[in-house]
Amino acid sequence: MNHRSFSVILLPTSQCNVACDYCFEKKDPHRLSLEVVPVLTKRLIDHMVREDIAECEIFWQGGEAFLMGPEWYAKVRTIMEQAASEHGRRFVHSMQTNLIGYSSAWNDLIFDMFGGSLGTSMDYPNLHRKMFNGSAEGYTETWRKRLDEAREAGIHIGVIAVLHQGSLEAGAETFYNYFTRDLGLNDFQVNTPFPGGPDNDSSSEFQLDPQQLSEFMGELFDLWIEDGLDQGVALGPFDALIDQFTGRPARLPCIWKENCSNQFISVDSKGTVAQCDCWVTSEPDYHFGNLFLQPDLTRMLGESPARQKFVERPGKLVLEEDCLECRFLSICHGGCPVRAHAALGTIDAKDPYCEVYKTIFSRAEQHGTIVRSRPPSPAPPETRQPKEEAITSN
Amino acid sequence: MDQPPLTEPAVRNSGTAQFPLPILPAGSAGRIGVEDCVVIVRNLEEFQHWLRQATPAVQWIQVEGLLNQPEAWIDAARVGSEVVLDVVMSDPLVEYPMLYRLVDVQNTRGVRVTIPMRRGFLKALRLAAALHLPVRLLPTQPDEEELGELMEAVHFYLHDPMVEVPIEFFHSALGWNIGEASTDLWLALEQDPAVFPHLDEAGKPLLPADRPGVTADTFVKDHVGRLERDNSECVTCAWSGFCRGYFKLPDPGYSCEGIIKALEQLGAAASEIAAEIGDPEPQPENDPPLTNL
Repeated sequence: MNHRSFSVILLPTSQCNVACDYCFEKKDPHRLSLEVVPVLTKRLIDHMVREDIAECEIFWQGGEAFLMGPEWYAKVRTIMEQAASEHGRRFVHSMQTNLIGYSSAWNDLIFDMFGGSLGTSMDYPNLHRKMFNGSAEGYTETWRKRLDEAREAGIHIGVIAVLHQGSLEAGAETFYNYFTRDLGLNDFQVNTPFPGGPDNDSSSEFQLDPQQLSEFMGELFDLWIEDGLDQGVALGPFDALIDQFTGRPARLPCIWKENCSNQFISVDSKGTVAQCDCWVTSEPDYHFGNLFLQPDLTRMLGESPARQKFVERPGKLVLEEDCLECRFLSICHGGCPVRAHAALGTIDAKDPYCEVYKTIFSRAEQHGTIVRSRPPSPAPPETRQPKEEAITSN
Repeated sequence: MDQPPLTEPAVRNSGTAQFPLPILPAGSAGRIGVEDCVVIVRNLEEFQHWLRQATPAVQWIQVEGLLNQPEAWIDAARVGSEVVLDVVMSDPLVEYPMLYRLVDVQNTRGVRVTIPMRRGFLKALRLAAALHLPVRLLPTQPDEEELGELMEAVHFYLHDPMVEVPIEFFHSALGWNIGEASTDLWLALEQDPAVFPHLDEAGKPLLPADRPGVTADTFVKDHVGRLERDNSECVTCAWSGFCRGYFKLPDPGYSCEGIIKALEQLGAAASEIAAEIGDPEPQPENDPPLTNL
């Protein structure tokens, strides 16, 4: 079997227990039924067999993935593992949750199915992640409580932070200190935002000035190099870039892959297949097909005109944009199609954060040169582990 | 000849290939059977057949004219055999965006791209390097525009820190200058018919030029001898030990001025590297001229 990676961002529901301003999911009161999980599993395994792929990583997301309950996941895991082992394949599971619904009832499952690790999200300052009553403060308070409980139970937590205007105004140092000092986290990543979902009062908060954003990211990078790198703090995407520029194997986030269409798909509770979670519930024009209606996933992916657009995008960018002349082409490839689409209405354009990325890459190159040339230091208190490749949505 | 060549091809299926290593079209490969060889495929049917049927004796598949067929590369990413591929571009200026089709193939097997040094080759070379695809740049007798691209390509190879893959013939030229690799351009580009005989479907050797009475074994030596007798510029050229008259075909009167400038850039870089690692002076100044070969 070959070493190609294949991941599925699986949304068992697009329902959610909170009401964030910038959510791009079209929420639908539909859930993935246990009765159809064997069918879904069969479709994935058939595809893996046809493509000679040994392992599939399932990223469980929502909506809010915890709404399905721990018993549901335990049953799903049994169904999937049994089917996979019959075909000499393997599923590996990861979970992204808002943590609001976390309780100790999840602990056994989290250790058994997700390796004792969860991904969650929090922004700083939190102005836009809200409870149904509209309270961001209430959200932060509840989330913090759940975070502490989960960590007390020995669960490793990685956090995704989406930047917004408030983050830039707070400044990189305050932002960094919130996650590392106030929350005591040693694993978080920052994502550039894109306006998703219906327009609302907060939409402008996520349209950031590239110059300001570049400065913020540069300062954050410097802070992490000074304070975090040797202390075992993983801060994406800077940690992957330092690996890249120091000659270590680097798992860059999906936005900078040669072609995300080679790497993963997303499937929602109704069987809809699309490129990632940013498309699967909210952009019907970009759907590849439906797993429950089309039995051959391989064929669907090969024949879908919508997927073909993603497959051809990087080639179009080197023809039509200035990417070929960019010295960072090998670690960017035109960036993220979702961000291009959100800003420009087409995926056939380079990522609107191009200049921001160049700033980050240049900074990584400078830091990498210094890191590479310095003598080996004693082992840090907690050595950084290679992280799973990040699938970077909001 | 049962010794390996002085330089190994960038892609290899097994580590024990016998030389000379015939390069032959798919039609004749079936007849030759178990001998070590390189198979040339020129259509989808041949490609799909050899992806599945390649024995360990097939050192690699040379794929010609198929970059514009996406299904070829979907299949190549999927099929389990690990035979490596040398993907030969036809028109780099048109085909370069299609190199993205090879990304997934690389996860299954080794892939090298052969780029003819025609107008637009620099675009293909840049993208191949960005995709971490090793490159064999195949020159003939470049015109002024192509020479301009060549100078840029050498600069890109030498100074762009993101270039992490070997780009031939730059890689071998640099190595030759440092004295770390004992090779020549014919071997580096797999064009020496004594080591890499190109055969037609009937098994007849195809020589780089029609030379009555000259065999594959003696072709390069004979070519060098002719240039010497004709008092070509190679006789006094510091690079002749590396080039061995490569750029004097098909037109023996072709001026190597532009080529030499590119090689000098590589030579200067070699001097810097040699100084950094404390090696003696690089080779060209000390190398015997063509007459001693």
